[in-house]
Amino acid sequence: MTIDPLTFILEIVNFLVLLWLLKRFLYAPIRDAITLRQQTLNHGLQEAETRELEARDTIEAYRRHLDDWNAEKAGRHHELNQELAKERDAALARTRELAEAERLRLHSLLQQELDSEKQAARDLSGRTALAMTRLMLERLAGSELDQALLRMLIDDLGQLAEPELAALQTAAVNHQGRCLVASARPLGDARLYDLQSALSRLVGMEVSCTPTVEPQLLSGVRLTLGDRVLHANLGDELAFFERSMTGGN
Amino acid sequence: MNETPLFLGHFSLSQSLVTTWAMMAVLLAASWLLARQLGKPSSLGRVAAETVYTMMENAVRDVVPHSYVEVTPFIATLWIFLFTANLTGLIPGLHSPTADLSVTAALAVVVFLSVHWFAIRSLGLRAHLRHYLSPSPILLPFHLISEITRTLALAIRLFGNIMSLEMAALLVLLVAGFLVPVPLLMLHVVEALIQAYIFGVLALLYIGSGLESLEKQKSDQRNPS
Repeated sequence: MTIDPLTFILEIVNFLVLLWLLKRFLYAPIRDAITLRQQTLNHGLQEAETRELEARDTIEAYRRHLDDWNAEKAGRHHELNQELAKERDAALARTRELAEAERLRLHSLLQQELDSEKQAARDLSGRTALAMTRLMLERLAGSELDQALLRMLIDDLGQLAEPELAALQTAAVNHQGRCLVASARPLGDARLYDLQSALSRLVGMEVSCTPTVEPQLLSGVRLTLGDRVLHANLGDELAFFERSMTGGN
Repeated sequence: MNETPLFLGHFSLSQSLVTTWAMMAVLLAASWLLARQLGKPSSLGRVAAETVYTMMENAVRDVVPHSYVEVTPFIATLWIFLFTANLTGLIPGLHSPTADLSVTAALAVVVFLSVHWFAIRSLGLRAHLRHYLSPSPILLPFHLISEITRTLALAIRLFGNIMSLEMAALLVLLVAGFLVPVPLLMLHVVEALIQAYIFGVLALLYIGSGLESLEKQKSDQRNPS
């Protein structure tokens, strides 16, 4: 229970020395290690916060880009709809034009076909009428009709217009009054004489007619004086009628 | 204590003194080895050292939050020294230096001086001496008596506890043989830890009381409300 002064003093010195040694060789390295670890943690934390901020900025940037893209998409979609509407309207107009052209073409074709059928019907009816007329005139053909047609020719010669009469006179002069008279049946001397007499009076010179028989004339005569031909028979009239009906000369 | 003093020239060195030197050498070697472990990022020694030091630093910071950087090495050295010294008694043939009143008295004086050292360094001599007159100059004698008694109490408490612990262990060893004292030796470890902790905490509280006005002033500056 006594205090040794030397031990007392040296223990104080010992403790102070130990304090200095531990402070120098133990606490300082530990504090440095703790500080280093804290700095590492703070650095990592700051880096994480920086990356978080960068990530937030990136997210915000991508969100803005997304909004821009959505707006651009909506604009493009609107433009596309407008272009599609224009294309649709143009295609519809073209289709309508084509349909109208096709309708007109079909209408024209139909009209042509109808006209053709009408023409065919007219031709058929004309030919039928011609055949019926031919049959009827064949049945009516005879001497009386020949006489009537001759009389009609002589009457018509007396009523010729001045230019035709002059042309007939020129033809008679050019052929010395010789002419051909074709009939369906033999004309007979009396009728031939009447005709020659009427012609001679008309052209003012003696006319001599040579008679021929052409059964296809059916009834009546055909008088040929040079380049002038006078028809007064059923066969030539039917032929004229047939040509006029078919469009020929 | 049955000691055989060593002689260095004309001076007789007590066993406590020699044991303390040996203990200091061991602590210095351990510090050197531990410092080498601190270079490795995840070594067990580094984690243990950082953990223990952080615990001690947090304990000091709870009492002196604005001066813990300066006070922590002193308190930590007290804890390490006392814990090691208290455990030295477990080694056969050796006695705990803290079972020697000269050692505990020296440590108590060191704590007494450290209280004034930290207070004067932080507050200044006039401010430190003024606190003996507050709240009333009448209390000055009581302050002075308190300074003396608490220093004596520090020295006597540690000396008495460790000496009695060693004597009890010795008696049980003599009476009951070698196996029975094992639980008592475990109690010795716990007691060594507790006594070191109590001594350190009391020293910390004394230093804290010396720095009280400074801590209050800095707390007020940090939290004006």
